[in-house]
Amino acid sequence: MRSKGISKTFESIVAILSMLTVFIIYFSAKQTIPDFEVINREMKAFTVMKTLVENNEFRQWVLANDTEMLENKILTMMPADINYEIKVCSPDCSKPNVTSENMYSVNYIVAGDVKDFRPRQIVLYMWT
Amino acid sequence: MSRTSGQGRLYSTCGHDMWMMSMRIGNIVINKKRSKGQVFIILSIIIIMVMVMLKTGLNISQIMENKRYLESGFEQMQFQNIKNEALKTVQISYNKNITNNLDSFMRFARQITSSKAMDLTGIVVTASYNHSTAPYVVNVTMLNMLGTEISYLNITFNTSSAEFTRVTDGMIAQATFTGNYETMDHIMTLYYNTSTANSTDYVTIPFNTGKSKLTAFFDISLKSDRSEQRDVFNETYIL
Repeated sequence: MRSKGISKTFESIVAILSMLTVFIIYFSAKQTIPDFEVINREMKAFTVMKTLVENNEFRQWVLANDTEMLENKILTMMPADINYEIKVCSPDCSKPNVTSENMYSVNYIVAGDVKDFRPRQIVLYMWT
Repeated sequence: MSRTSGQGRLYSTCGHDMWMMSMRIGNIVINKKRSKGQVFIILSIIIIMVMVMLKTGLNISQIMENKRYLESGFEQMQFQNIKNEALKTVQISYNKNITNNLDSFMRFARQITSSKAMDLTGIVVTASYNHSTAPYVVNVTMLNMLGTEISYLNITFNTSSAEFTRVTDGMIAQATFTGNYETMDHIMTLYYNTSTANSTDYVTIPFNTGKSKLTAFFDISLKSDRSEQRDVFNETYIL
């Protein structure tokens, strides 16, 4: 009777150990589910800038470094649930003075025009 | 239900009366009297199968693949931006410092892309001629932005050719061809080799006597860890 009890206990221990082993081996590899939010926002921002730059007026605002007009135009086409800042630079932009770790940016290159050849980049910073 | 035996107490700690059941899984029938230990093993197998099925159903690798596909598409959009603005550079230059402006633009684009961990490389060629009487003069420039030195470069137009050695990254090679060219499409051949590869590009130059034209030719690529975009394209403008 006693040896039967021990064998049952042993079997239950084997069951628990086998579960644990599978769990550790199969689930231990660190696999985080990829975040689509950032890439989707980047693509959205890029498409907005591409569409706007095709308009010559928008290109003139870029060349004039008129970030207020650019912001007005771009932000009406972007989701309102995150923060944005737009900069126009040639070539390097200083990052906004924001402490968020979740900040990313999208660059769009603009070639200039007949009067002012210098190429610029529009950088749209986004953070939550 | 009275449980006085040691076994009864052991299993009652699980909070279930599993040992009282007669289980049938597939063709295996577990006898209620002899199955107390096996139930745990069978349950563990079932739980393991459920866990494996859950993880397989999640299919993280497919999700990762989808994300890579999106990122690659985004890089393609950025590459298209560079191509469009490079051509825009030629248009706005309108026969004024086209080579320098293109050089400046490509360096700028390269700087921007490298800050995003992407590598913009390639060659940019311009060929221009002005309306004049024969013999006609065709000016050719080639900007090396392959990221490496061109050890040997040969530019052939019609029956003439120009040779260069050691064209470093960022350097512009210039050649002039003079001849009595007919109104037709002429093919200019660029053969070059670097320490890693040999390459040949063919540039079509539509020649019209009595007109001034500029042909801009690009063979550029944008590489990153995720994808590689490459395109060979050219545009001809009347000056």
